[in-house]
Amino acid sequence: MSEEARFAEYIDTFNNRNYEKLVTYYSPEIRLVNGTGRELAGRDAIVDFYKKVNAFASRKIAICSSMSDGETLAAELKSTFTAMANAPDFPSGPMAKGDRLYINSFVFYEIAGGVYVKIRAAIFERRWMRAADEEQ
Amino acid sequence: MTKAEIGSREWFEVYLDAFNNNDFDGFSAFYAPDVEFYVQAANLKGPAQVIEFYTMVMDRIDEHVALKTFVGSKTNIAIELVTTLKFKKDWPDFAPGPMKAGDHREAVNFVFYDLNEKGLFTRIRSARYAVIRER
Repeated sequence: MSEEARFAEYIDTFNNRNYEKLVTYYSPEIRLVNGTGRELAGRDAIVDFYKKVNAFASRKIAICSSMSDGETLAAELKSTFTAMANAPDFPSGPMAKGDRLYINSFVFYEIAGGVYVKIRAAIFERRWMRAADEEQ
Repeated sequence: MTKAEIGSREWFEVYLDAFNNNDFDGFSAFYAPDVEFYVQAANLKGPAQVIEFYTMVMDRIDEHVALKTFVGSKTNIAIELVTTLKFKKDWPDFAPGPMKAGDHREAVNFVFYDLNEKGLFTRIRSARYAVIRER
């Protein structure tokens, strides 16, 4: 399987919140720096963080493009978060129920031994779609 | 331009060398006529706008880019760059914040390039990953 195909499976796993399978893509020493600059070290830290995020917001990630040389995979992702409840402490900023946050990000995944060892994301575009604005 | 394979690291380094040497003809030779250029400080279209922008920038700043991560193909390139800016003049309305002559700024950026069938850049988009040094 190509790295790009495996990456597509990984994103499906992420979108389906299958945490048991998700951690199999990560090295035990995984380090993930998300687009807000927050660093998560280790599989448990990543799962704990995204369980909290997913408790407030549904998140769907779409792959715009991905390519790999076998050691690094570069991907452009489009993520849409929809708040299912008021989330004043949401990592990217306070969200009210129904608000949507659209993020276009560039991400590098470093690969060793068939698993991701380091993931780093930078946000190219962040756009809020507020439920209150859409009601007007 | 270069005989290196389009989309290879060697090919791309020719572009960066031209940029680091303020060789406007050299680096703009990589741009398609309709290139779209999105960086923190500006959104530009066409090689002439990019050259005009960097003529203004390089009058105020010594800018050097160092290539770290590179993943490329004939249609897309993704890189990690460390950008070092040394300010030669005050720049009070510099997009990330006012800077004074003598200030240094160092940042890590992820930059994604789209290429056309001729191997020219049609779109360049930069996202800031981290600021290493602010002043």
